[in-house]
Amino acid sequence: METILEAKNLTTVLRGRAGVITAVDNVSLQVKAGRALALVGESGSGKSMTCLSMLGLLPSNGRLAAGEVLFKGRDLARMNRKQLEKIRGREIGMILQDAMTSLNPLFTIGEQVGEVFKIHQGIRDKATLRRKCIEVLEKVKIPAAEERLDSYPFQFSGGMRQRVSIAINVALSPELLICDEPTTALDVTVQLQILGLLRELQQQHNMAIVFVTHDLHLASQFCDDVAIMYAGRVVESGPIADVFRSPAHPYTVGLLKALPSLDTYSERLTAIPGQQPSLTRLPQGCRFEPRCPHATDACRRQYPDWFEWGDERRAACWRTEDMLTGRLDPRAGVAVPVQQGASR
Amino acid sequence: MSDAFVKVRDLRKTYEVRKGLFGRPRPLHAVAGVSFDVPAGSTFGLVGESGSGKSTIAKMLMLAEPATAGSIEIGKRDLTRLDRKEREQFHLELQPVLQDPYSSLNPRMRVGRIIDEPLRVHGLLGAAGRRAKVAELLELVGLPADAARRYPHEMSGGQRQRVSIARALALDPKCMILDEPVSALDVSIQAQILNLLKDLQQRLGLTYLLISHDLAVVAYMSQRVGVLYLGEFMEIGDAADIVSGSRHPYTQALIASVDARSGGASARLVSGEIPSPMNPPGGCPFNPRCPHATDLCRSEKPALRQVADGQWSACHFADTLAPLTRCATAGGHGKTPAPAATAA
Amino acid sequence: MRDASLPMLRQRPAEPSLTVLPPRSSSHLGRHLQLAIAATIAIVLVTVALFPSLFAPFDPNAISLSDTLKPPSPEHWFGTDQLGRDLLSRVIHGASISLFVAFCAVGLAGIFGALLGITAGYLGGAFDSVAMRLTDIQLALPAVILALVLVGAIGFSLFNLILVLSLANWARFARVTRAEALTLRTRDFVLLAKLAGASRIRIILSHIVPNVANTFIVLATLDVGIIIILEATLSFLGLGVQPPTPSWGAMIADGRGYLETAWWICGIPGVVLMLTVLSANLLGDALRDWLSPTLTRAW
Repeated sequence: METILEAKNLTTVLRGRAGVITAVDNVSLQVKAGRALALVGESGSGKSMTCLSMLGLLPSNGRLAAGEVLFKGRDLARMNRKQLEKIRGREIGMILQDAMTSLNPLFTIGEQVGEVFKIHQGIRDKATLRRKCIEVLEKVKIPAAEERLDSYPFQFSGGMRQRVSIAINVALSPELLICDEPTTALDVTVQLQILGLLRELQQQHNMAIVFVTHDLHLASQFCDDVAIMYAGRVVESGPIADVFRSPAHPYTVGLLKALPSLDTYSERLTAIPGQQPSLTRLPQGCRFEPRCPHATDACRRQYPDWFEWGDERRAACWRTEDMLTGRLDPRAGVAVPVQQGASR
Repeated sequence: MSDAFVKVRDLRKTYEVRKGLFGRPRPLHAVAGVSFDVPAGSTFGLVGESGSGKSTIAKMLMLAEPATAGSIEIGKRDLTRLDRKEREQFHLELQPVLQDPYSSLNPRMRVGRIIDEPLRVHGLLGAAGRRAKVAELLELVGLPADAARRYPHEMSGGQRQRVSIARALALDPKCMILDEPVSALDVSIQAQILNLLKDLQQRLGLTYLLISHDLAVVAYMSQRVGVLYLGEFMEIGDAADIVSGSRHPYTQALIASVDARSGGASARLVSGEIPSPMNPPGGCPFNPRCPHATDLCRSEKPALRQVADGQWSACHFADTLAPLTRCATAGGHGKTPAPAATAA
Repeated sequence: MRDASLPMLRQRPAEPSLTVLPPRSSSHLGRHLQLAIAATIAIVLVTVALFPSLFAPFDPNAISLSDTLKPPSPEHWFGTDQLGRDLLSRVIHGASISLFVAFCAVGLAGIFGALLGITAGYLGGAFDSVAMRLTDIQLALPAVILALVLVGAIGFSLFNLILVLSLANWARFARVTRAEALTLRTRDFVLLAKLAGASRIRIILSHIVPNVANTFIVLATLDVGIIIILEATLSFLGLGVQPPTPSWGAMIADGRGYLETAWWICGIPGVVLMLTVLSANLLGDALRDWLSPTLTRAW
């Protein structure tokens, strides 16, 4: 299967008040055509910054310090603004969390959707623009599309605004769509509708999707692959079904056990103690070690190597092998002494 | 039932909204008659999406907003009929914890001062007594003793929420209103705070009124659950009955939405969006989106009636409604790790 | 579930993190330079103003008709004016007066304006309406007219001058602090304080005032520059500091007639005035940047 987007050792630094922090630290990802990659992490993990870095949308105090972003073979990191502008919107779309702020409150929906066609296809004729806008609004299942062309964003509900945002981004059938927590701000009953819509569009256009979320369960329902980030680095990745079946990093397990669900509501949640380290004071060894129930001295001393196996599975943890071979039962949260002679 | 610690009867809140400069003011029924009982030491969970009125109910319970009609009794005293002096005393009985950990704490006050402010206000304990109490509270909520000297911006979201909880406990209240206490926190921190709240309830015999949009959180924390839609209860019952034997289509839609996210039973997607409370539909408020709606539903509003022991539903067909089949594990794209039952 | 027989586990070291040094951009240096210059000027001025007799080589009012209109020289660094008075000494004493008046006026206006603005913003209602109308009135009257009228009514004196400057200036503070109070009023911690039973006074003093302090400080610093100019204007017009007390504004007025022949009488006080106001503004800007939590510098 063709890899449509590949980030290699992407590193982004930000200048904050406290100094320089590495918000994205050697992140490598692969997105295959027609498949959805979930980028999972909490706030401060670097997942949103990764997406912004890939598209050249960093804030003014940020800089892409190293790495490549290969989109269909071309390196986005080396392109100038003009080249990126041609790609954004046409070949790559990006949907943000809060649709209210992605849409300009002063322009009608028709004007904003039409802008895409104007810029990238140079269409000026009003009638053609209207027709195309209606087409694309119907594609995202907005009822009575024609009448709503002249409405303003504030007249729409949250779910509708998100649909408009999606419409703007898929109007030109991009090959890659980046969604940054697109459903977090929506009501639960609407979230599923939006996800269903995205999946339909994905199938129709064979679109690849990068789906940024903090909700691992949601990701499992919607995506094919997953990359889990912690404190700026990827800690585990692979096909999502496999990651769920046999997680190989204690953080992944912790996330799975910490989410309240309707199946386990009668049992006590297992919370991950502590909190993410501040990016200004990162430990020398594994960044998850202070919170990890299976940590050893080796974990504190040295940052874990990558362990790779099977179908593109990898995890950065010294205990991965123990977790996979059953010497350690990750779900029990009980640490088993490491046997001598294990690879270290 | 009649000796419940908290008794709410027919609580209502109506706003007069004027459209445009010259429009006649029209009533907006944010809360349209809500009644429930909460036994001492237990948790009652109010779950609803936007427009359900849950935030308004929270505000009325806290006495931050006056109720338009109805009564709130706590420990046999009707809060809506208190005069100013009595209201001041009432603060000793009931304290809130709010959603936003960043806005809940004065950024220019040290944590110790924030926590003991309620004590200062009521002139309780001397300086030494307050210091001791603050130390005690910090320990109770799992914060280190030196946290008292720190400022809020030096703390993470989870820690700030702990400070908010400590402050709420300063006056030894009997009852706490938890308004979306974990929605603004990272996933791995949510479990910590929820567990903390549960432990505190056990230790101190607190009664909780929990308001949230997340059904899983509500099910985890509450003994009894009330499902709100457009300002009214659609269903009330024990948490177990609501989750595995709900008798209202809206509750079922909520459950299905949450389930589908975690790979549970397939979702029967509910269509459409939540209508604006300004224009509630005629008849049953849920009828435009309900897959079972009939003419009766459109014309006659169902009353909240008892359908099983301790379970009430506002649906004409509650008795004949097919129960939602839920599989604890299975289905969906990925598989959430099941508890001990399926460990190899 | 868990494979006892795993496919081969490949192991490779993790990529090392980059050590990134913050960039040494020129703008970074430039801003520091700005601040350094402004701070130096300010420190020099304040020191000199605090001990004018220590720094002034001559008596500022000593007339010497044999030394009139002398250009700057080693003996008289700033030259002498039409009455033979040493200009350097006059400028130094003028600084003392100007800064004293400015600080008092800013202090008075600031405290009064802030108290009014914060209370109006927090309480709202009738109090707010009345306060805002008063503010409107003050803003509508130009300071000079106000000074004319007041000075005409109550006469000249340093205290009256300070009073006039304060009256012409407090509305700015009221407006800004009111806006801040309005925003703060809706924050959760204020609601929670109310729900803990705190009285309105307590909330205003413990919660609103400390959070308005930052804005207030920046505003006050910038205001010093404005007041100095205003005082100079009034003195220039003869409505401010009265002769023979030296004042920059009066000196500039005196020197008008000698622009061709002895430009330094007018020019030097003017330049000093400009540098003072400039440094006050730069300091105010720097303070605002420093106190603003969200401002980050571009890379």
